[in-house]
Amino acid sequence: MDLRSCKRVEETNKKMKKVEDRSQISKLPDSLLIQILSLLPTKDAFTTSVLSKRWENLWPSIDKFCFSCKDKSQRKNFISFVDYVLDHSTCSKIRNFYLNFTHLSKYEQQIGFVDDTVDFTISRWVPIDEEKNKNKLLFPISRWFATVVEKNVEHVVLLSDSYENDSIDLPDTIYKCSSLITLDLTCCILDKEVAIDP
Amino acid sequence: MSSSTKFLTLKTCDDKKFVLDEAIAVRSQTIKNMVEDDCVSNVIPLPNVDSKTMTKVIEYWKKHSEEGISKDMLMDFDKAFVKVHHSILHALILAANFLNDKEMLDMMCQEVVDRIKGKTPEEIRKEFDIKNDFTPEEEEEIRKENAWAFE
Repeated sequence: MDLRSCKRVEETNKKMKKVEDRSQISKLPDSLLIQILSLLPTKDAFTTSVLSKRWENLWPSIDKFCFSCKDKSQRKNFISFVDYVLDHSTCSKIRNFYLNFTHLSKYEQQIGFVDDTVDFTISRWVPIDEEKNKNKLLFPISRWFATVVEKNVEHVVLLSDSYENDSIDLPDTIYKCSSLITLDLTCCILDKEVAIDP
Repeated sequence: MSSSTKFLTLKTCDDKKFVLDEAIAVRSQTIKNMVEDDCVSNVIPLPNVDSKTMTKVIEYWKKHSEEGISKDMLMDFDKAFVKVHHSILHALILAANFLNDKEMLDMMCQEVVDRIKGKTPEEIRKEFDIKNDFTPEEEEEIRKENAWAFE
C-alpha cells in the first residue's frame, strides 16, 4: 500500500468515526430507556439492540418480560429466543413475566430429554458449561420458570389461547416462590395437585 | 395554611417565570416535596426544564386539574398531547422525570413504546432519527446471534 492509499484509509476511518448516534431519544438516561424497553414485547425490546451502539446493551436490563408463541412453525426458534434472552438477562428482580405458551406444551411433552439437548436450534447458543447444560435437561417452560424464580419474580401471567393443549407441568418452585405476588393462569391445565405457599 | 389559593412561581433554565396555582403545581412530586419541606421561598428554580417544555407541562397539568372534565375528553386531550415530534417527546420525558410526575412520565414513555412496537430496526431508526453507528459487519454479527427476533 503506498502512502496515498494509506492516507485515504485514514480519512475513511475518520469519516466512519463521525457517524455517531445523536438522536434525542438515544440521549435519555439508561434508566428511562430501560423503563421504555421493559414495556415492549420482549421481541421488540431485543430488536432495539441493532439500532445503534447506544442501544446495544440496554435490553438485558429489562425487568418485565412478555413472550408470545403465536406461530406453531416458529416454536423452535421461539424457545431458543426465550432461552437466549433469559440467559443474558442481568436484572436481579423480574417484575413481570408474561408467557403465552400456545403450541408449546405439546412440544414440551413430545420432545424427549435427549432430543432437547441435541437439538441444534435449541442448544446452539449454550456455552460448553456443565452447569448450563444441566439446566438444558429441563423442558423449556420448566427451565424458564426456574430462572424467573431465581430472579425473584413478582407477577407471573401464564396463558394459552386454547384448552387443546395438554396439561403443563409447572415446577413446584413457582408455588413456593417467596417473591411472587400474583400468579395469573389462563387455559392452563395442571395435572397435579398443587398447594400454594401463602 | 390558609384556604385561599396560593401561587407558586416557577423559573425555568432559560429564566422564564411561570406563576401557577400551588394545587396544580404539586402534581409534580418534586415541587410537592419542596413545598412540604417548606423550602420554597419566592421562586422555585427548575434548572433542568426549558420554558417551551414547561409550557407544555403546564398545559397538561391544567387540563388534568379541570373540574368536571370527562374521562373521554381527557383521553382525547392526551392522545393529541403525545402526538409531537420525537425531540419534544424527549424533552417532555426528561421534564416529567425531573418533576417526578409519574402519570405524565408513564404516558410519554408509553408513546415511545407505541412508536417502537412491531417496527423493524430500519423503521425505528427513521422514526427517531437514530444514526446507525455499527459497521455492517458488527450489525450482521448481532443479527446473526438471534436471527429469529429480526424476522
